[in-house]
Amino acid sequence: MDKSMTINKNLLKWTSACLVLGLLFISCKKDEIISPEPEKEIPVKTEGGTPYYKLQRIENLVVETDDANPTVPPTAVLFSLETKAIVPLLYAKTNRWDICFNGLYNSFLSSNNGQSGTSLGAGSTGTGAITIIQKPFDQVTDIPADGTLSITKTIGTDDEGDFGEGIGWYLYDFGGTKRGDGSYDKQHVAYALPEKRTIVIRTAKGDYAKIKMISCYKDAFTADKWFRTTPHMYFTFEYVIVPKGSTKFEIK
Amino acid sequence: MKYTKYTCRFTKKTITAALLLLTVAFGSCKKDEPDPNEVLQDGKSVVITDLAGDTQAAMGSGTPGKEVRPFYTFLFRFRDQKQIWIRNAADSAQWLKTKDWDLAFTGPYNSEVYVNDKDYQYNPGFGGMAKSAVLLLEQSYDTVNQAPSDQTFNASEVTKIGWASSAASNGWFFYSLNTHIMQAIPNRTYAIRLPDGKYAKLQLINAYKGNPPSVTDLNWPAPYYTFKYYVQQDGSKNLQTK
Repeated sequence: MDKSMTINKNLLKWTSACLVLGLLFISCKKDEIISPEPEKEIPVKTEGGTPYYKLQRIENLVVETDDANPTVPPTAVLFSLETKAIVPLLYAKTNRWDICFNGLYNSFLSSNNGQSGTSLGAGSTGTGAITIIQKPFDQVTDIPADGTLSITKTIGTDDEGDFGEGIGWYLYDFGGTKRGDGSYDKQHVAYALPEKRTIVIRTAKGDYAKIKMISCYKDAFTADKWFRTTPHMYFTFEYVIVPKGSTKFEIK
Repeated sequence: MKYTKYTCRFTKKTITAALLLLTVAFGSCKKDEPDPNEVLQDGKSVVITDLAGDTQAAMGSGTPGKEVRPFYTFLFRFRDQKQIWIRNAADSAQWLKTKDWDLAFTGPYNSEVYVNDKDYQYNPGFGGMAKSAVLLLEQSYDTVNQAPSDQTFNASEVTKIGWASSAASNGWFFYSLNTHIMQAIPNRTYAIRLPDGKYAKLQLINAYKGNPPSVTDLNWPAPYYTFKYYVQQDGSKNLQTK
């Protein structure tokens, strides 16, 4: 009798605990999804914390593309430099993501800023900003002044190539004659410019990162391996993230 | 009852007559329709129609009668509508770094337009003598009555007027990589501050011959530029043309 009572009691305890947990979980989830007020945002718990001061490499971050309809605006892709992962669009209005890959072939990068009318994070608590520096990654050691970062800018095609939009991270070779030999296979190739371009971003939470865009082609990290039909868009890039208030991009 | 009476009156003859009248009316309507280039005239602006770009060049895929090579850049001067070709190093040396041009039509199909700016490294006039600035105004040409402030010009990040890969870009046309057809974006006017401090406005209208409202035929003759501009000669910011 006593025994079965204890078992029952224990069972009851467990069941109620599970129920409560379940409820908590559900309510948490709901909060996250709706979360119209910024103060309700729950920061992502990153295992081991934000990976500060270490060189990070993301290989072949794949973004769906449709070569049959290349100018139809694709779905934006959000990425967190803190968790090193794609963030569902559901979280666009939160400070959980740092870079938005948007526009043509998802090749235009922008930041997460709640004050920017054009950012996907408009209205969020994101304090992001972005710029591009005409130097290779290793030479960018000082964090540029906040005044030189833009909350609205998108960074994509470079004016050195065709259809450039200012200074960008890649050169688009329309006719295949700028970097290629003019052959069919070298036409319409997008050349990342890691040798002379570095993106600097202030993250949604105010940290700083410098980013070397290396390629948008699958498993092909150098220009000799890039052709019209090489599978794309598979973003490969390296970055270093340092905490809010830093003045240097240090690797420790 | 009255209605039935009326319907009865619609004999074959009347119908034919009505149809005839309608056709005549429609025909005359069509005649009254203004020439697409005539509506561009406002009595003040300079309207350039079908200015031939590099029609001999082609990008890839052997088009008969065209050479596979990059498009030659041409320059354009506002004050006398002079078109200047840059085909070789000698042309470049003679013209690019001078103040003798206002617009450079570069890139595929001459579709990427620069103002003359010595300070931007990819500008054809880089290292030269001219300092211009350009801004995108998202309004129709006729409604632009005033040039923006100098601070706005100074802060401009528009390096070139070309392809708009998205609605957020500053370009003058959308280009479908699928159909390969260019389409000017409505309500885009470019305000320009010229090297001599004068203000101007510019609308790029078409790259297809005859300024058709839309093109479905990939082989429609191109590039033939239609555009209009106005330079305020008195140095004021007044850009009213209508």
